[in-house]
Amino acid sequence: MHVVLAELGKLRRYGMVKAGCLVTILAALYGFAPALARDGVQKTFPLVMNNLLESNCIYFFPAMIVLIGGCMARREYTDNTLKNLQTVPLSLRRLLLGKLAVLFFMTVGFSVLSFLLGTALCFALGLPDAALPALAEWLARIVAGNLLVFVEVLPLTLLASLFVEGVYACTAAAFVYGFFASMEAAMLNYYPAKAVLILVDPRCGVGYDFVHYSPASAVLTLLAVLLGSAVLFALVHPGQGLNKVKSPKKATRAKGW
Amino acid sequence: MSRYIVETRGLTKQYGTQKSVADLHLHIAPGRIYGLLGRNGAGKTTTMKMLLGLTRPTSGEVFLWGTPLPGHEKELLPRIGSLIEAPGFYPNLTATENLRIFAALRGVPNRHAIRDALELVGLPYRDKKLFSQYSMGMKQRLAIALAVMHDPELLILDEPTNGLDPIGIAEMRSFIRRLCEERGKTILISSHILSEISLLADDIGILDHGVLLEEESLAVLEQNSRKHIRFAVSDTARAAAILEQQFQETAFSIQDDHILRLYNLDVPAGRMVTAFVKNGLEVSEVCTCEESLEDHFKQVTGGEGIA
Repeated sequence: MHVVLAELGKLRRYGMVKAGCLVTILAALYGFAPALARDGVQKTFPLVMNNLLESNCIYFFPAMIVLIGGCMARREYTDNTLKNLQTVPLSLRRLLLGKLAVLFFMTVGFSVLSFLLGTALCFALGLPDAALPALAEWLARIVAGNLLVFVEVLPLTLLASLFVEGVYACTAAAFVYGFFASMEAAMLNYYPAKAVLILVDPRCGVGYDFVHYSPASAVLTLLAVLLGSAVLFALVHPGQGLNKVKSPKKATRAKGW
Repeated sequence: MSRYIVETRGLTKQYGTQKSVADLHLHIAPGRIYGLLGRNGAGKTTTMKMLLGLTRPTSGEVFLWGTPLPGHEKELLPRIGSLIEAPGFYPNLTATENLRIFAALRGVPNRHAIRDALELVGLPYRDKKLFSQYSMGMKQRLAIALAVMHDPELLILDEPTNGLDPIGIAEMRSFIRRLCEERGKTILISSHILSEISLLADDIGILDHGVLLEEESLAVLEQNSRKHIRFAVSDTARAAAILEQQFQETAFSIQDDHILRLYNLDVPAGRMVTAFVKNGLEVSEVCTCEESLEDHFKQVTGGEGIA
């Protein structure tokens, strides 16, 4: 609990929180953009929120979660604070668990922000079908969808946190990983990024008669990811020797005779 | 119960083929300021990191309060406050916010601990200035505040005056001295500046190329280095007896079987030599010597200059 509170305290004025808000705004605009198209399709609140959900789960949140998670771990090296934490003493595993917990809460926060932005844009445009039950349903879908994305990218987040030199590589991998969820194929039943959409996106697979998605397979796939992440966390030691990241602005101390 | 707060036995750290610290036997007594003196790359920081469990020794043992450090970190490390290398804090937070984080992690019970620690080092409590905007001296002060915030029994400070201006250095010196004298803290401090260590430390360890060349109290070092008459005689025990019986002189020290130092410079050295010779002693050398601490350290470390 102390670790989680401390991690929350570190978020004040933290650039990655601002970056997360920016990405969430971009995701909302990206999801909302089709609502402005004059393509003859009736634009409704559920349609826009569905776009928003998909843009979150496919394009924006996978990479954003990995990036923020990795940078939260990386900063202990770049800010040179790891030694202070280790002399508390605080083990690297407990520290990472605290960071993951905070990242989970941040994902919830960004999801709510995403919903609020999407809803505000829908109201601004006066789109129909924005009744209270629909609002509640889409809030739940967006939060659940993004939390499942958190689970989906957990192995990558862990890798980025354990080996902080690989944060950007893991972020790029997360983007590609999420992007493939935009495709439709029967074998994607067992693809974690697609599994998220199978569970929360009512339009997933609609119009593609050749694929039949199974929610049970999706649940099993995400449970397997969760289990794999737990194994990864238990087996891989957060090795300091592998993390040589140093602060680029580290002050040079005059030393020596 | 060990008589030492910190004790190392054969502590060695090897990186590849190079020994950063070799067979170190360090002894720090309670309530003392121990100055670890050595030039750049001598192994001071590596030693301190091993004492804190930040670096695993290649061989040897670290005992804190008589308890081996490995396996007892959770009970031993909270009793230590440390500053190792450059101060490390979150740049997006103020001093108070930074300390609040570590206070939460350490479970510091005293509500006023953060305010007290900041006041102690002369930093304002509710200052809006972020750590990233701090000068090097302010960062160093904040690091000291973090080290003392949880009222530790042992302080391990790696070059704590780095980055401070002359007034700041003097303040820091008196602050460290007060911590030791008024609060009974045991302090291990490293520096490459001889004058700083000689003004502050009770005991001094000279580290060079990872080897502890000398470990002695400052009082003994000063005693050995003051102006004296040096007699090289065939039997120092008999020479000492002659000094006491014939000249009622007790201000001398016997260095070994042949060297005797007399610290009273007002005595008739010529008459003493005559007395030695009359009593069958051979006198091969008599000279007036003065060895400063700096000379001594130069001699011990192989003659290279010090700050």
